Amino acid sequence: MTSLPDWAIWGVALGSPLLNAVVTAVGQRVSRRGDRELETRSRREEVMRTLRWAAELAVSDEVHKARLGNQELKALLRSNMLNSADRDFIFAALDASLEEPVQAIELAGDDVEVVASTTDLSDTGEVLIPSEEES
Amino acid sequence: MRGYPMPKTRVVVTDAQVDAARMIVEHDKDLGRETSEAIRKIAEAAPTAVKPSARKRGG
Repeated sequence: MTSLPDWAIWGVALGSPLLNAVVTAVGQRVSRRGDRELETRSRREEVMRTLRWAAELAVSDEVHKARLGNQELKALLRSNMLNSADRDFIFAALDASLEEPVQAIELAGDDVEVVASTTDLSDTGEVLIPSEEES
Repeated sequence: MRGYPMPKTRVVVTDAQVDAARMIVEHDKDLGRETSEAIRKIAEAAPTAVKPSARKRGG
C-alpha cells in the first residue's frame, strides 16, 4: 500500500477549497468589472441622448424651449459625465443658438445696440429677430 | 446733405441667448481665449422691455 506524505495530504485538503475560493473570487471580480463597464456605457449613451435633446432645445426659436435647453446644457457641464471633447458639443450648440444675432451684430459693425428683451413674445407667437428700428 | 445722425442698429436678443453668450464668455475665460466681440456684446446686453413689434421671422 502506498501512502502519501503528510504535507501532500494537508496540501490537497486545504489547497483544493482554497483554490476553489480564489477561482470563484477572480470570476466574480471579472464579472463585476464587466457589469460596471456595461453600466458606464449605458449611462454614457443616456448622457449623449440628453445632450442631443438639450442641444436641440437650446437652438429652438421658442424662448421657453431655448431656456430649458440652456439649463440642461449647464447641468451637463456641471456633471462629471462628459469629457472635454463632449463639452465641445455643448459650446457648439450654444454657438449655433447665437448665429442670427451674431450675424446681425457683425453686419451692423460698431454702430449697434444690443438689448435683451424682458418681454416674452413667444406667447404671442412672435419670434425675436434683430430689428433695425431707431434706438 | 443735412447732417442727420444715422439711427443706431438695434439687435434684440432673448434672455436665453444672453445666457448662452455668458456661458461661452465664461468658458473662453477659463480657457484663456478671446471671445468674439459680437458674443461679448450679447452677453452684456441690457435688459429692455421690447414692444411686441412688428416684425416676425420671414415677414
